[in-house]
Amino acid sequence: MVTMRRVWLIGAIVVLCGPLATWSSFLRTHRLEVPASPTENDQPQLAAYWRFLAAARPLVPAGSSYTIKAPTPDDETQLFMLSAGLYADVTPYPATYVWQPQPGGGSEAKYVLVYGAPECPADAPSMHIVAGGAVCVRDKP
Amino acid sequence: MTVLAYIAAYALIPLFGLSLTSSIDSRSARIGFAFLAGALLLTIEAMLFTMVGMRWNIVGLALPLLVASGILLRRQRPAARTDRSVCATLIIAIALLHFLLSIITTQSINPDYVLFWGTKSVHFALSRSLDAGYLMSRFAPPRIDYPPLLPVFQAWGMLFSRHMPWITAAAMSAVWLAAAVPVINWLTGSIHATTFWTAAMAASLAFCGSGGNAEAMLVMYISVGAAAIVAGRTSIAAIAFAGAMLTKEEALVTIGAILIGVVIYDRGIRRAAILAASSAAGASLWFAFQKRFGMHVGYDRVTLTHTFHWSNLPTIVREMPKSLAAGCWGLSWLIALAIIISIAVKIPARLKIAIPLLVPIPLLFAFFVYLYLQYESSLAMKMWWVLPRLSMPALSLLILAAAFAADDRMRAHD
Repeated sequence: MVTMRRVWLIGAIVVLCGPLATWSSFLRTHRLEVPASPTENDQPQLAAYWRFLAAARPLVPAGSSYTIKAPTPDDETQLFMLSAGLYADVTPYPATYVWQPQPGGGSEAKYVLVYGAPECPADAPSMHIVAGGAVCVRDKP
Repeated sequence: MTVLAYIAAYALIPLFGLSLTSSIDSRSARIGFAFLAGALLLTIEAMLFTMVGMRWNIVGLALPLLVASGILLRRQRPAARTDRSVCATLIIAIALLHFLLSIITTQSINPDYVLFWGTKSVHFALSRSLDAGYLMSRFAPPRIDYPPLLPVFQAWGMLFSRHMPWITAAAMSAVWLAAAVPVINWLTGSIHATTFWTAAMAASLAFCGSGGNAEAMLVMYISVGAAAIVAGRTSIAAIAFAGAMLTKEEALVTIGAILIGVVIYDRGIRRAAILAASSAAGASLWFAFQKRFGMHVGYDRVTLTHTFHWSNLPTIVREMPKSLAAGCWGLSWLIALAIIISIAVKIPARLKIAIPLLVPIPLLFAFFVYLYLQYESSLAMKMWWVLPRLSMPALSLLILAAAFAADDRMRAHD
């Protein structure tokens, strides 16, 4: 019985060598700091989307409406999925939903979140630059 | 402040579940299981509130559960001693810290958490209901058929904090593992086997990116339920399986496989029927909710074409071992397997008690192969993404089987 107990404990220590290797690799390549997004160190692309959406959030008031413009339908789809949590109190009018362009292309929205190059649509000339893109405001959504 | 309020909300969860712990005679196991049972009761209550048109609020949700716990608390047995060891406790603490810190440093937060689990939680908390309107809206989140235990659990914290502390909420996944540890210790009667199980689960959960998604909850409910079956605690198993069914639909396959093992071990269906009924009750509540609000009733997740691509077989054989690394180069599988084989060679009669845990393992792998033979594209990538998570219940069952068969336990359940 004593032997079996030792086997379990030694086994547990051996198993934890895996996490030890992971941590030593992580600490060699990363600085310990408060993460800017929930996927900062595991999903860099999602993290970049998140940082942009979080930076734009203070410019979009609760109860208003928003759409997202991005270089590709994949960007727009993932940005929209992420935004559902961060912009839960804002009405969404996605330009792309599940990789499909939507009728109207988000033209009903008051705020246009432009990811990537900060270029506002012609009907939303008022631009606020944020990290990762811009927030453009339509005068008449 | 948001973070503290969110964490404080979870201090109440064990109090909600105390009403279902009267049969547990270990104080730490009682608290641990009360956490698991409390989350289940909160989810059931939150669903019922929405079904009858009542908005959630902290007092309304908490009061009935606290009253029930208060009444039943008087009937609880005095606490008995469970197996303890300083060295084992230290290793368990390190394992738990590994999982917790992996989440906090965002190495192990699941993308599904930010893409749909967390977004559902935020919408539910803001609408103070299991918002069927959002689930059926034109721009609904993915996986609207998933059962609601995780979003309800995360929304509960947000009722206190008002804002979603995204990383903190994901870190609560580690609390599920911490809650299950004393229960597994009590059920197996071996702190040393529990230490190995905890290390293996922590390594695997962190490796699979189980922060914020439903994986930790599912694996803990399944593990506690399966261990309770072998320990002869059918009521504990029944509650745990109901929780699993309200967590993720993958529970259906795993519980089905375990019940086959129970039937073989018992040579009868009485216990399996009780456990099947409690599992069905959990799922039925979710299906009743779906029907009440005109949603598609049932699980949509597994799409089976029943067209087999036998050319997938070499890829399955090649990729499967890689997907079983479990954060420790597969050592958790290999060590548990070595213990089982050693017992099988020396004292095979001891394996009999572990039949309900051993039978499901090949059945689950047969199911994975059956599933992967039907994939039409990107099989290797999909296996790498899904199998580490899907195989976690099987890993847990294997370790628990070794724990029960190794017989280094205290005699609490013999």
